[in-house]
Amino acid sequence: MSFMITTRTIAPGVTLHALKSEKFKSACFSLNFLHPHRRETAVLDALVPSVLLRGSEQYPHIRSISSRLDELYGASVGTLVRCKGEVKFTGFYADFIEDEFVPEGEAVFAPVVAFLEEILYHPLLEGDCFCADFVEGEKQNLINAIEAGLNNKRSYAVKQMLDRMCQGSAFAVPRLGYAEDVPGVSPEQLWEHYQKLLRSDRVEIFYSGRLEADTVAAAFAPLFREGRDYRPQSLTTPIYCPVEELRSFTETLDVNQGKLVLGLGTGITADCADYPALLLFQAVFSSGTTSKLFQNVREKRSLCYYVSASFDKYKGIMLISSGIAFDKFEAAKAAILEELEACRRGEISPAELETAKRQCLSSMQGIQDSPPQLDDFYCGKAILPCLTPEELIRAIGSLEKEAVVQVARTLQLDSIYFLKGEEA
Amino acid sequence: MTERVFPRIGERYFEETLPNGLTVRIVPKKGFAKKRAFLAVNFGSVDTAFSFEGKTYRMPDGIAHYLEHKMFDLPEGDAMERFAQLGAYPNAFTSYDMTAYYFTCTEQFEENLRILLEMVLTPYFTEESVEKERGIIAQEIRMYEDNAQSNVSEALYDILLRHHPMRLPIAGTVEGIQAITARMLYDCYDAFYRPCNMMLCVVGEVDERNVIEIAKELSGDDCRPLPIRDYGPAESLLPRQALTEKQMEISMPTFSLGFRCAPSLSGMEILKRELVGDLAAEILAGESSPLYQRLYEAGTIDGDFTVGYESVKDICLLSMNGDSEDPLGIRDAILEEAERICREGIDEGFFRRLLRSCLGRRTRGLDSFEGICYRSCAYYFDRVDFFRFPETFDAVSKEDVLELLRESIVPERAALSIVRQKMKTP
Repeated sequence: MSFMITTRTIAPGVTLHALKSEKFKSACFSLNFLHPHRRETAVLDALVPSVLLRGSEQYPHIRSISSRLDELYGASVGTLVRCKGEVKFTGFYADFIEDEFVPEGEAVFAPVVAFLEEILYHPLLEGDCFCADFVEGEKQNLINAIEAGLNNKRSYAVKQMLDRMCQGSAFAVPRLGYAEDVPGVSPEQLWEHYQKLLRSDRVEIFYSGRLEADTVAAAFAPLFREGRDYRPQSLTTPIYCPVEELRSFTETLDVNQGKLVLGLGTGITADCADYPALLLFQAVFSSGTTSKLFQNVREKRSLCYYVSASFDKYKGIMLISSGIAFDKFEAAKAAILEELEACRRGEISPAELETAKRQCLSSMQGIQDSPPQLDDFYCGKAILPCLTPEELIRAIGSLEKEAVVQVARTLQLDSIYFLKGEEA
Repeated sequence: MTERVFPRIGERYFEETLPNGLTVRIVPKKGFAKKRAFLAVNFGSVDTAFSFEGKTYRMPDGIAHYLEHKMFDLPEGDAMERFAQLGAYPNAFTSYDMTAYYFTCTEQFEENLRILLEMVLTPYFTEESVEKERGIIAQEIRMYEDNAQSNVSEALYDILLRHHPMRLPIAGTVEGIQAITARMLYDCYDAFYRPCNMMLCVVGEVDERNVIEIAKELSGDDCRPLPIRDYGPAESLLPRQALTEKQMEISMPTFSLGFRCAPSLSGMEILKRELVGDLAAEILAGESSPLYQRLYEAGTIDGDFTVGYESVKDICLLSMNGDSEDPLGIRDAILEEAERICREGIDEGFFRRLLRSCLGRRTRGLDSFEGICYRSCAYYFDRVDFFRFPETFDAVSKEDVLELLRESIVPERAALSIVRQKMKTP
């Protein structure tokens, strides 16, 4: 397998990662402004792309914007607000048909880039600032979006756990910020924040499609020719330090299913030598239907429908989450921890290890077929140097059981969260 | 084996219907590491009442989904494990009208395909294993019960219909599934899990001849006639009830608004109707419609508001979903806008742009292996070839869209389901 990724510097602090690929009917790109994720700026970061997509000089309202995208054969341009560790990536994601599939003489890539340039550099203004109506409308939408975090109980439980585990650190600040910080935002403040992003933020662009990197670089270059005053900032995430004493948190809502989350410190981030072993551990422990958790907590004990462990490769946190009946809290917790203990004792059969390796290889190989996954991977690699998927495949292939056992022993459980129903 | 080529969308496929009735389609995709095989059974949650070989059956709700969970058991153990050893990711789902089993892998495709076929063609249920699954499925149902989206759409189907089993949740209820036994699973399996009631679709760089050979070898020779399904008396197009509301622990009201449409005809008419349905929904309240702009700017809807056309068997509807403080106001605005469009007609430029947009999005959808597999099978069960969708773009007119709007978006057809925030008790 090969990832034909070419990296080009377009302007100071502006980097393009271009994947040349002919197998898709869609091409796509993301354009990201990078800076530290902080409570003070979190809601501004979320508002900027939404307000920009409300109207520009040429496309003054959402209807003219949508009409333009319809004309471009149903291209989609959406807002993108992501956190990678304590680094904010805010910007846009565009996804559109390859020029080969539109009638002779028509093109989509160049017009989509031109559209984005219009959105970025010619927003509809009132005086020297964003339109107050647009800002007010998007503020309300943002409040609704933040509050909607309650609606999906599985992700809500995870968010509540992180909030408690990482209190006081930027990692606890939700991706979209806090609802209570939204009402105070003024159009002037937002405009100033946007100007700062545009001028001095680091910019990462990821492209996937049929064009050569040089062609793509040339298309984006005019967007960053003038007015840049790039100020390099440190974009790092301090690793999570588990607390000594186990903390327990319980919350009550009117729900039909309980949500159990166990929080652990891994001590391992993507740039660590142990990182491939952490991936392999996760496969043995929790990914897929042959994992220890699935087999023993779900299949053998019928305790849940889902149980899985996910980790943050920037922060060094692992969360194990499961949906269970309210009265199965103790049983499920004990069953999950028993499987972790089994890994620590080295109870991993050669077949389990082999299966886990195959799963890792298969999911790494699958990355090359998914532009969104590649985008995610290369944007992450831009802030935290790490092995490429090909290197990870090789590294995981040569791991022994001891490496996995070692990882299991490093994990330190420090928090337990349970969301339960009112009658439980 | 026949090969069909679709130059307008840059696709082709190989297809063969085996003597036992199983249709196998292989869609080659160059340059991809992954490969997907998808075995669909024309049997879904709505198929609970049927007659077969002289007997009449009435199964508990949720049985198709329960059966899906238990198909992974084989006499010699769990098929999941065998897939995993070969690096494949297997999964399955049950919808109102289909049960599908599939895997994605990058290596050892043919070995994985053998497991898939063997698994779906080998029923093996014991009372003990059926019993053990009950707790797992109960937790799956509890998870859906806490999901406002499932609640709001299930409640919409419930008020749209009088008898049709689409009124009921796909997985059934925790109480209802208690009655399910291994015997019942065998009865359903025997009636519906037959090669002539299935389709196998494979996407990726594979050897198409080998796929056909493997399917021939493993899919048996059961050619008995299929059961007769009973969905109850014919359904009126008018909803049973115009409005339903419930409360849940959510942050703002969410709604689903539906208008039934007369069932589509057959063959290419189904494909055409879907395009007409999508266009009607977009013209009425899609992102580039005047109404969307008005509601968005007023803060009545947000970017999560969606419109569309959906159909399951003979139940077709235009629907609008989203979060809003004023779902009733949205319903009234939709009705008013439909009336205006029918009176004033559709702007030619708007119509042309939407056609381009729909064509572009459908073509781009062919990047999705999941989408190709699902659509190939779903349309095949309706005897339509979905790869022919570009032809329908030449056949639609504004008049088709107006006719659908005129007929369906009327006050007596409107059904509105709302889930509101739970009132806090002081």
